[in-house]
Amino acid sequence: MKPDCRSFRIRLESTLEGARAQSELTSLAWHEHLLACAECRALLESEEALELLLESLPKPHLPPRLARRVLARLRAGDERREAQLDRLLELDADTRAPGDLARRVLAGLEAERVQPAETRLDALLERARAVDLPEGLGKRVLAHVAEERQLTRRRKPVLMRNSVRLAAAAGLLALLFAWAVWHKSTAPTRERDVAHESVDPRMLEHIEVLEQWDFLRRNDLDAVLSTLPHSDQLLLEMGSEEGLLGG
Amino acid sequence: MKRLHTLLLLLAALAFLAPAFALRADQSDALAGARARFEALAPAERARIEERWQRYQSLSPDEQHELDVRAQRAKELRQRAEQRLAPPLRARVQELPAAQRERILSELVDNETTRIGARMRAILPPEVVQRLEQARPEDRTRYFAKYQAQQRKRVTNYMFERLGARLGLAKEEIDGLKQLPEEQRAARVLELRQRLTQAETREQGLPPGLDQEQWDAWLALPPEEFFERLADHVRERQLAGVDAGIGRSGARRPEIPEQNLQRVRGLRRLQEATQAEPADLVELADTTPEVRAEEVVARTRERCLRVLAEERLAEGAELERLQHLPAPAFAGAVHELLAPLRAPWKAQVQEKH
Amino acid sequence: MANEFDDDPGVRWMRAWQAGDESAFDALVEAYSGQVYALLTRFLGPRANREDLVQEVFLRVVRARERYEPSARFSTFLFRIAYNLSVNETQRGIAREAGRVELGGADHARSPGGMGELADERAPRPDEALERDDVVREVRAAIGRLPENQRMALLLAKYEELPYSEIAEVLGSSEKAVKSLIHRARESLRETLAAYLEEEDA
Repeated sequence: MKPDCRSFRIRLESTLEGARAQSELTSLAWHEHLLACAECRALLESEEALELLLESLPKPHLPPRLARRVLARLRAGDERREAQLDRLLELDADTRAPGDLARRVLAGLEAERVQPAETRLDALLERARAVDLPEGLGKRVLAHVAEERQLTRRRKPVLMRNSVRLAAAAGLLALLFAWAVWHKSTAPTRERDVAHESVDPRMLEHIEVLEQWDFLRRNDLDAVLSTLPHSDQLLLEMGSEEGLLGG
Repeated sequence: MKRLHTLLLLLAALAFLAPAFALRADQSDALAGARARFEALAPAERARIEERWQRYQSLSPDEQHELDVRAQRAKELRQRAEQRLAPPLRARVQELPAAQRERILSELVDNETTRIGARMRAILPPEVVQRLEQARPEDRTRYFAKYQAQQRKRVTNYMFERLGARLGLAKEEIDGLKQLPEEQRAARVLELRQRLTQAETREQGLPPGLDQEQWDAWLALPPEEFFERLADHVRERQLAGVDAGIGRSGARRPEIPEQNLQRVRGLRRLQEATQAEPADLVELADTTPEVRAEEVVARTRERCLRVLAEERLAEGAELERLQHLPAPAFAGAVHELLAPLRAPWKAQVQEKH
Repeated sequence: MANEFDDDPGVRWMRAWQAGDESAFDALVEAYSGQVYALLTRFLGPRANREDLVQEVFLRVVRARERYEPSARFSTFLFRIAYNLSVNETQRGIAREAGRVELGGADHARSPGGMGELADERAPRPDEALERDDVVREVRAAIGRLPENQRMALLLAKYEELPYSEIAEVLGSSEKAVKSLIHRARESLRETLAAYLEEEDA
């Protein structure tokens, strides 16, 4: 790939990256490199066409009241947990829990708001009188619930004690200051004052270069040829006219 | 105890920093203008300038020097571009707010660059152009600078001799001219050339294809402009003379020169049409980049199509076809049509002025 | 604990919800479910069980309630969940088959709403309806054939207009990798869809 192809393609890719690629892509049509390079021209056309194709895809059709249904199902997700509990409660073949046991257990758990003890749970379960509860059922149920809870409870990391933290922060600050001082004394760079009061005068001396940076860094052939002083350009023309220019 | 140590360290650090703050550099007047410009920028642009400053500093001294020199040239290009604007347009540009003015001027400079680049490609030997095109981009400036310096020495030496002889200058004067430093030689050659042309015209009459009024107007110009106009004129006639018709058959046909001349002028108009119109740039000065890009491309295309039709450069079915090409292919087709303008210069043997 | 994403409406709702305002969660679902649904549709095609996936996405948000800390825009956070879930789905092979069939297939989608889900938002003109369906199907099929990471990167860039840094967040990789993914995705699409790219607009 010729060097100009590479730099053109980099430019093309960065144009495609922007959200407003369409119009900027069009403006690349007159890019100097394209005038001579059919391959890159074809590439640009192909990218433009692809953009159009992608854009022309119909927007996905959103089902009406989607949010409402999702919310409803999320809330109904509680019912699933009940169903799971039901299954647990039926694990022992000879136990048949009454239909609404699970719901009442869950409701009971919520109402408790306290880590229910095994015994309390057993007591809850025993309120459904028609049931002979198998051993360890309470434990199993609690284990399941606890598992669910673990997914939502945040484990707080052990924080350092306050005084240790303060000392660490102070130490860091001190190091930062020391570093800043060292940096200033060994490498005089521009200070960035909060009020922008001090600006590096050397930077200001070069402000022309910095303002025109993009243009000056161009090394396409036109840019190189055109920064010859006017009279030198004309001299070359004269030389060419006289047949004096060598290879 | 720990707390005390930290406090002491902080105090020591502050003690070091204090003189650094006090040693703020003095601002001289020369920088006041630059500072004002810098501070007039938006924060985002200021940050960009500062970032570029870092990049500049990381360049080698040679690279830095090269950039400095190019900045100087770019400034000249800017001035040239501004000068080429028609006076009312120029006035309008100068009245614009700084940011827009800057942007328009850089777009104009881009135009200039394309124009000058095209011109230079036409006059340089094809193998030189090829070598530059195939070189690595970062090497191009260096190669071209070397080539250009070599040629300058040769051409100026030759021209001083020849022009000196034709103008009847004394040998010492000619020798003196040949000793001139590099930067001054080209300008002096152009000066002498203008003098000679004037003298010869007085003796032999006007160059073919020019009238007195036009000639007098040109003579009033500075040497660079004068030479450029004259060179353009000669070039036009040269193209019309060797170009035996841009027909597909490529066969040489005995063409009526006037038609050829018209064709060359038409192609020139087309070439101009491919450049963004300064008036358009000014008009679109305060739009967003996206809108501007689209507009400029659309207007360029319109202009080119108009010129193609008016100058009969494409007709009927061909024009129809061009109208429907997507933008890059259209630009390529126009570029193809403009190929004759890129034909290399041939040394003029008869029509010397 | 203010941070740069505090202006994002999703982040604000999350914080409110964390603080106990239950209605804030409803607001989140109202505001963002459509976007997630659209992305999943583009990513997996119409037949996949997208509503279930949307629900699953928000279920994970529920589970993340207490430990959530904003490190990106809320939509980016959601997209990340959606992407991880979708990849799981396709790894299970179910959605991949369905997606591929639907993305490239000629049959009409059966949706809960009953309407064909390939329908445009605007009514197509009679003459262009048949033609366009072909092109649309082909394009969707081509997108569906892209490997997941390329596909998601492209969709996020093109249709959600996310900057590359945020796409990197969603995919859990670097900006450089994202650039490369999109580049390859486009290259594949240009190749696959070459026939459609060469047609000239009348």
